[in-house]
Amino acid sequence: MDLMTKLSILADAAKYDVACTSSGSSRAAQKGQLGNALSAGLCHSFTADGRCVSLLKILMTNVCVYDCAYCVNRSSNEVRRAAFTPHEIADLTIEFYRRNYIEGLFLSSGVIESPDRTTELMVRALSILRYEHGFRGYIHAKAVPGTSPELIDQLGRLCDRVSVNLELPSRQSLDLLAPQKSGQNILGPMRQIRDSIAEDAETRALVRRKPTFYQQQVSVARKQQAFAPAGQSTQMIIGATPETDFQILNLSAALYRSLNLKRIFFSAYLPVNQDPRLPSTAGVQLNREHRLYQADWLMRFYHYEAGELIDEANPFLAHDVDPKANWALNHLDLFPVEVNTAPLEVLLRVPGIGPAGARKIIKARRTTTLREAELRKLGIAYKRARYFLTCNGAYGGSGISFTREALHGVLAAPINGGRHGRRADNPLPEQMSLFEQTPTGEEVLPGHVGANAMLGASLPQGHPEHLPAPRTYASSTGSHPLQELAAWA
Amino acid sequence: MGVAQGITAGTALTASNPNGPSPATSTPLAHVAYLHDGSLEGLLCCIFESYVRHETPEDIVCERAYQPRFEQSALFIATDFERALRVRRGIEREGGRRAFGAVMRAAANDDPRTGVIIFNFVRYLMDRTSGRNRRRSVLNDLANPIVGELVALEQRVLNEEEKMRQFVRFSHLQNGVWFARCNPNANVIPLVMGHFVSRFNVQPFIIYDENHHVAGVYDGNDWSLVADTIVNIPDRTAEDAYVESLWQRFYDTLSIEARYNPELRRHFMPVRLWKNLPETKNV
Repeated sequence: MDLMTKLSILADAAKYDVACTSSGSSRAAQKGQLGNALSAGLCHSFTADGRCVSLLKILMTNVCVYDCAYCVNRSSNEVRRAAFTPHEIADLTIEFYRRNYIEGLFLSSGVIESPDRTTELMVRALSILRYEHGFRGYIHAKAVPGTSPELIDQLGRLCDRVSVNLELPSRQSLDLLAPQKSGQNILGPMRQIRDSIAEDAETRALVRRKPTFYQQQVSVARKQQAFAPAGQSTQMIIGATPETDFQILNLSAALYRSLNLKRIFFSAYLPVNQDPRLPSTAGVQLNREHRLYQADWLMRFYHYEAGELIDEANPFLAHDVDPKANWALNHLDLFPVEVNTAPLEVLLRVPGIGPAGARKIIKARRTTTLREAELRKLGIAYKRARYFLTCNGAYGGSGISFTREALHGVLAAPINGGRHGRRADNPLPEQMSLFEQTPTGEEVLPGHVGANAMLGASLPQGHPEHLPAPRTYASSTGSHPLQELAAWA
Repeated sequence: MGVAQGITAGTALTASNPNGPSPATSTPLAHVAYLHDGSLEGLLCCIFESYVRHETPEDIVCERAYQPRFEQSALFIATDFERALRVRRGIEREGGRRAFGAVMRAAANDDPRTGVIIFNFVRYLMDRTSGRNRRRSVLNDLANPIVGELVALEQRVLNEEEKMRQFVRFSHLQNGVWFARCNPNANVIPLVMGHFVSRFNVQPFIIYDENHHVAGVYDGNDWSLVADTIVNIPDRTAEDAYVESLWQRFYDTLSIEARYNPELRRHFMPVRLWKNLPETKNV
């Protein structure tokens, strides 16, 4: 089989792996060696579905001894099988890298013979890349569940990021769809990777420390390669099994806390196999995946708790507004906030203001009083933020009554009347009715402006104290992260 | 540098002497455009000249891109490295090195208003009341229209730099050199050469910007800029064509049909860059 055919088969088999990030690792270039790694990562191309191509994402082989229901490579499927030799993987990576096609390699594999045998072959390919070619670019490897700790350790020292797939959001689903994989086989390597990363970081901090009179510099006997400096990630399939968003987000929060993951990837279930255990829905839940990612971002960059975004009574995220807007609509008593005085964590809770925008506001307001014109220049989404802000005492969202229903109508309205984004292709979830009250904002007459201005003026200025206390360790769901995980494994 | 020359556009014609203080003209011109050679130094010299002549130029542009306005005089300002350095030191003294970095990046823009925006910024920087806010970077003053415009220009160049780091594609020529052709909308090759030189230090390469006719050349030791149109490029190797076809196959394979989203792809990978990408050449 020639290289072209192998590449077609093994890239096709790997395309359902979601992660393709090259961030989190910074490795300076060295004279005489190819490559470096940038901490922000770099995307080199984008496929027709809009996903980025950052790494050469391939399977080492699509031969697999497992028979997981959702997987295109399961042993009972009749597909062409192929395998790269370690040298082929290394050479292909180098050739692509030299042309600036890719940022590095993402190596995953079906399980050939046994997990240990598979990992051995992967380690060989990566060793050739790192030691024979002196490659300093980014490498992401998937660890196969059930691999022995020694091999995981070798793998981690060759990679920037290691990940183990959680596959499904609950233990029961895993037992149902992937009976040959066990929860312990997945969590075991994840715990080991977490501990090795922590140990490695600690050693490095000790070695780096400047010696003082009282504190001697530690010298290590043997300098080791860093263990997965870009951390570990995982991924799970959404929509193949009946788990709710509530369960998924609580599991994510638990994973971030207890396993110190960098990222959790969600992959909307895509029917690739015929199997009685799988739902036969034709639609891919792209919108749900999108909302889950939004909630994930809110937890990681906006200091939201999972319990703030979702509760057991409403176990699915709203489909028409994003989770942040939804939170704001449910907490209208905390708004509007004064943009010139609100602290960072309060600004981060305003729909339309993101981390970059919030920091810009804080920079800019040191020298200037921010009013509408200034805010618009700063590049925040003023169109959304205005309903939740006062600028120097003046309420920004005049024209719309400050009620949940009216604001919901404004925030859920499609951007540019539906001409923007992919959702332009999709029909509205339900037909609009003549008799149903769907506030769109235009219904409110300009005469109401005065009332709203008064509303803005009469609101107290010092809202921040009403906002929830800063992020604490115990989640508001009341359960400890380790309990969440215990339920999974 | 040659002798400064004037370009006939409106009423007045004045030449400035690059090697000495400019003759203070009796009356500053009301409607004047300053033309420079297109370099950052040239732009800085225009700013210097405006202080010498007590004029506020309406346009500061590269002489090749100049479009005369009605009733406007045009002055060609010769580039003088001494003067450019003085302006640079002034910017760094008042605004710090970060401010000069922003000016340098903003100057790489193709936008015809670039010169005036930078001129306004430098003037604002110099005129700030001394003492007040001096310890805080002027670039934080984002709501100020003068600073805001400059920061926006800088951001555009930063974005274009990132695009080049992403979308420059090398091919292997028969003489052993790696060659890339690109079409950025700002003159960013000088700004991204550092990235490519450190990453690809094992291979001599040329990145040619076909919009600005500038090539960054790395010979294996050091890099330099060549401002010219490249005439002769040797053919690429047969192996290179094969690797490119592998890449094209990989790219085509990777897309998932059920998630087809062309708008998103165009958003991240502007169509104007597609002609120089092997994977999208035939789309």
